[in-house]
Amino acid sequence: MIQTKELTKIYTKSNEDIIAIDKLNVSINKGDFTVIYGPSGCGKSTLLLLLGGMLHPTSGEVLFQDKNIYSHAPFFRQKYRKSIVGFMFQKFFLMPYLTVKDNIRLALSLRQMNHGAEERILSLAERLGIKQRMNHRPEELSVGEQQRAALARTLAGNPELILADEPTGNLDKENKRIIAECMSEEHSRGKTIVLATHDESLIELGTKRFHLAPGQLTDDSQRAEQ
Amino acid sequence: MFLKLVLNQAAHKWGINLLIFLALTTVVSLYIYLKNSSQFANRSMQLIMKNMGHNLLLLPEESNPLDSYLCTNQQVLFSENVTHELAKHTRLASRYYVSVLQQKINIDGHELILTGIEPVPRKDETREKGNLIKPLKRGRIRLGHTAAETLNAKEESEIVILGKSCFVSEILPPKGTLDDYRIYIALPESQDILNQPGQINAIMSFACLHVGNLEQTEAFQNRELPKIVPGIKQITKTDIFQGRYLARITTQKSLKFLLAIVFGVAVLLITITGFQEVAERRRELGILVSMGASYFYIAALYFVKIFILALVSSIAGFFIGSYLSISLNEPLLIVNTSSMRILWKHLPNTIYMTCAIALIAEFLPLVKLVRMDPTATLIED
Repeated sequence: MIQTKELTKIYTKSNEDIIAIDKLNVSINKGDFTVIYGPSGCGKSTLLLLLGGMLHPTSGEVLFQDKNIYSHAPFFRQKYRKSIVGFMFQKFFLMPYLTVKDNIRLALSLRQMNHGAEERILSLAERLGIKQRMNHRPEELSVGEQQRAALARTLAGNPELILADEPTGNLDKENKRIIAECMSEEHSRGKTIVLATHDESLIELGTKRFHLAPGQLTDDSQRAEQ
Repeated sequence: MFLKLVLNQAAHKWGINLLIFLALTTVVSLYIYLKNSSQFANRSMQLIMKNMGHNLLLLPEESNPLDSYLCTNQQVLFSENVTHELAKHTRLASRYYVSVLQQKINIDGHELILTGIEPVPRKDETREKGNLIKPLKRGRIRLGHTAAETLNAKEESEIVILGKSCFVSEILPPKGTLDDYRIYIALPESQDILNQPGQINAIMSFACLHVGNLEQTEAFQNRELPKIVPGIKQITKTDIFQGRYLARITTQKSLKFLLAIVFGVAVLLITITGFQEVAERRRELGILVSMGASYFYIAALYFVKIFILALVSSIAGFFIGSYLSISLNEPLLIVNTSSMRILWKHLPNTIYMTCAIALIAEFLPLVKLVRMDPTATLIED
C-alpha cells in the first residue's frame, strides 16, 4: 500500500543539519498494523508526516500505490490526505472554537460526506463514550475525552490509512485502553494503521514492529496477522 | 459548516477582528464624511459665487466694454436671437443666459438704469440649479435698493417709467454696486420703452467649470463661441470665476490627499493585523491541511471573513459618516439647491471600495499563510 525508498529528511536549524530520517526503506501493506517505537526525538513524528504527505522529504520517495506522492502537484497530496489518510496527534489538535460535534463534522464536511453525517457522528460518539460531551468545546473536556474526540474525528472520514502519533502519550490507563481497543477494532475492520509510540501496551498491538533509533529503522519483529 | 467555521474563527479571535472592523469603519465613515461635506461645501460655494452675479459678459466685437459698464448711449445693439442661438448649444461652458437691454434714464431728475432682462434657458438646465435672474412679468418691475429709495417706492407701489406705468414686485437688498441703481423690467417692455424692438446690448452668462480650470475654460469658449455666434466677444469676471475654481479645487485636492493617507494607514493596519492573525493561526493551518483541506479552502476562510467584515464596516461607516456630515455641516453650509441628506448613490461604491481595501490589505498575509510550513507547529508541539 505504502512504501518508502531511501527516504531522508534533514532539518537545518541554526546552520546545523539535523538528520531526522536517514535513507529509510519500509513497506507497509494494506491491513497492516505497524507500530514504530523509539526514544523521543528519534524521528517518529517526522516519519508519520512524511507518510501522510504533509512534509517534503530532503531526498527519497514515498510511494502510495506505486506513485511517489511528492513528485506530483500539491493537489495530489491534498486529495491523498483527504481521501486516504486520517491523522491522529498526541496533542489532539482539535479546533478550539468548535464543539466536539462540529470538530467531527468538519472532517466529514471536508470529505463531502454530509449524507448521513449526523448518524455517523452519533455512532462514533457512542462508541468512544463522548456522547454527553458533543456540545462542549475542547477546553471543557478532560484530556482523555479530548483524545477520544480527536479519534472520533480521525475515524469519521473512514480513512484507509490511519497515522497515529503517540495517541496515548498523555492519557491515563482507562483512556489508553479505550484508544487501544478502538485501534484494534479498526485494524480488524481492514484499516491500515501506522502508530508511533513508546507505550509498551500499544507496541504489542502491532503486526509489524519497527524500532526507530535516530533516523534509522530496524525491523524488530514481524508476525503474521491472525 | 464552512460559514460556521468562519464565524467561530472570527469570534475566537474577536480582538483582532474588532480592530479590523474599527479600522475599516473609521476609514469608511471618514471617506463618507469628507465626500459628503466636500460635495455640499462645493455646492454652497457655488451658490455664494453664483449670488455674486454672472461671471461672463458677452458683447458685440466692435463694442467698448466701458460703455457697457457705464450704461452709456454708445452701447452697440445686436439681435436678441443671439442669446437663443447660444442656448441651443449645450457643449459650451457658458449657461444661465440673460438677454439685457440697459440704458441710463432720467426719472424726476434722478439718473437710474433701466434694465430689460429675459433669462433664456438652455435645454439641459435643471430646475434644481436654475438661473439666478428670475424673469419678470409685463407691468412688473424689480428695483435696486438705491433706485427704490430714490423713487420712494415700496413693494406693490406704482411707478411711471417714461410714460409706462408699472408695479413694484420686489426691492433688492443693497449690493454696493451699479445694480443698486437698476430698474429691472421684462425685456420686451424695455424694448418698447426705448423703442428698440428685438434689440439687446449685452448678454450675461455664467461660465461653468466642466471644461477645466480658468485658462482651459476661457480657451475653450474662445475657440467654440465664434463657431456659433461670430462677432461676439466675451469678458470674464475673473475674480468670481477664479474664486469658484479655487473653492472646488481646494476641497477636491484636500479630499484626495486626506483619503490617500487614511487608506494607506487602514491598509497598513489591516495588513499588520493580518500577519499577526496568520502567525497565531499556524496550528489551525496544520490541522486543516492534515485533514485534507486545500489551500484554496483555507484562503477562502480568510477571504470570506474579511469580506463579511468589510461589508458590515462599509454599511456602519456609511451611516456614521453620513450622520456626522449632516449634523456637523448642516448649520454651516448654505445650500438652496438641495438640503444635506444621506447620499444613497454612494453606498454601492463604498461597499466595493471597502471590500477592495480589505482584500488588498489581506493579500500579503494570505501569501504568507499559503507559504507557511503546515507541519511546523505540529512538530514543534
